[in-house]
Amino acid sequence: MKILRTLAVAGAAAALAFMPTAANAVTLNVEYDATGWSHINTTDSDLWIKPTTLSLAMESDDGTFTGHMPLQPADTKFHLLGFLPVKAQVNFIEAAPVTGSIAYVDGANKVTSTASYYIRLSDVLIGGLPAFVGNNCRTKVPVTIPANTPAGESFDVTNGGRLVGEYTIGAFQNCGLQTFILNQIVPGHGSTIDLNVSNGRISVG
Amino acid sequence: MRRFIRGVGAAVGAAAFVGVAATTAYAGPPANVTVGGATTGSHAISGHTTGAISFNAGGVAMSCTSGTATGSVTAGSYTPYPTPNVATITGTTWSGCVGPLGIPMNVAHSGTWGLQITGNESGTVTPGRLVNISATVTSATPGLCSFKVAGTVNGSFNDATSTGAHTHNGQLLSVVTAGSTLTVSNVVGCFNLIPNGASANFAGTYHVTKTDNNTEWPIKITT
Repeated sequence: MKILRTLAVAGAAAALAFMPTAANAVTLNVEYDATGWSHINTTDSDLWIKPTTLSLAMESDDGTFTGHMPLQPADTKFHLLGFLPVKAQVNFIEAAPVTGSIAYVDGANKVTSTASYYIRLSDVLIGGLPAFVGNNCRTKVPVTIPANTPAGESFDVTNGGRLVGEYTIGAFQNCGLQTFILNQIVPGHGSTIDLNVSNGRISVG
Repeated sequence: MRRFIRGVGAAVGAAAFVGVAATTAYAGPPANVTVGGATTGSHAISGHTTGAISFNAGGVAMSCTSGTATGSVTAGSYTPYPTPNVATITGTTWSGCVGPLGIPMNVAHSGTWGLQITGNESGTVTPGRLVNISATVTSATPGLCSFKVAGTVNGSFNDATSTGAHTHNGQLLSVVTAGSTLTVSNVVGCFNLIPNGASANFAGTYHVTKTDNNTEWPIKITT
């Protein structure tokens, strides 16, 4: 069982919550603001990653971390067969915690991380008409989204930085009669994410 | 034209001499150091920063709101450059130090640091370096981050005469980040952002006074 101790940060009311995990290792709970965009390559459409909070538990001995980044539903629109407008709400259901690490490499701080979500579609309109997809129209397997410090940039632990990655969307299931058509359009490689992470702060324990 | 060094400010804390740490011996006229006119003897010197101190190690930036230093300068004639130690710093304090995310940090001085002149005076500014620096930096929260730092920094001493006691118009020792050879060792924690062997530097400006009578003395360096 881990024992939680809380320490007061001088000059601040926030409490440092940490858990000793190994000799000399301390876990620091940190939060960041995060927002950005994701481009869906297969539909050539963009999703706004609405402002959210990236919460991390960082290990002092090796810079690894685990955490969460809840994503609000985002609306997307694209054209089917090049002309038929499609709108949908894209929901991100966390499938696994965010994991990663930070390290000082070649003169820069580099973050390497992975997030994992099921992508669920809802409120689908095809040609302006509702297309019933049910309540569980989602990817069969989680979408693994890497989010790393871009080449040539450095992540500032206090002020944050950009995290980018490329990911693949797999096949959908449980979308009723729309399953087949959706799987001809949406799944594929080359989608990207570009996050701006900022305002690092020790989370209140 | 030969000018005589008549005063030496103990580079307290971060006496830095600007620019270049000389690597070859200079076979010219000596650098003469005096303290308040005295040409011999050891004279206690104190200094305090005129502003914040910046400190960087590996991928981490830190700062301190203020600092002090104590030591002594030995008046005499030194063969440049770099000279042997013209002053030594036996203690420093670092206040209000914070690291990333506002984490409080503590800096502990270690050993005796040396101050050496490394070049000719230009106007009222003399280049030099602070050698044998050694300190331990530790997070106020146990276990988060600690490391040792050691090496040499460059800087300058401006011996423009102050217009009154404890004013900051002159007698300023400035440390700069350029040319720092500080390296990090004995790292514990620090989130993989300060690896052993990483480079470090710090910068700040100290106002120097003569300790034994707590007044300013014109500290002149001529080369």
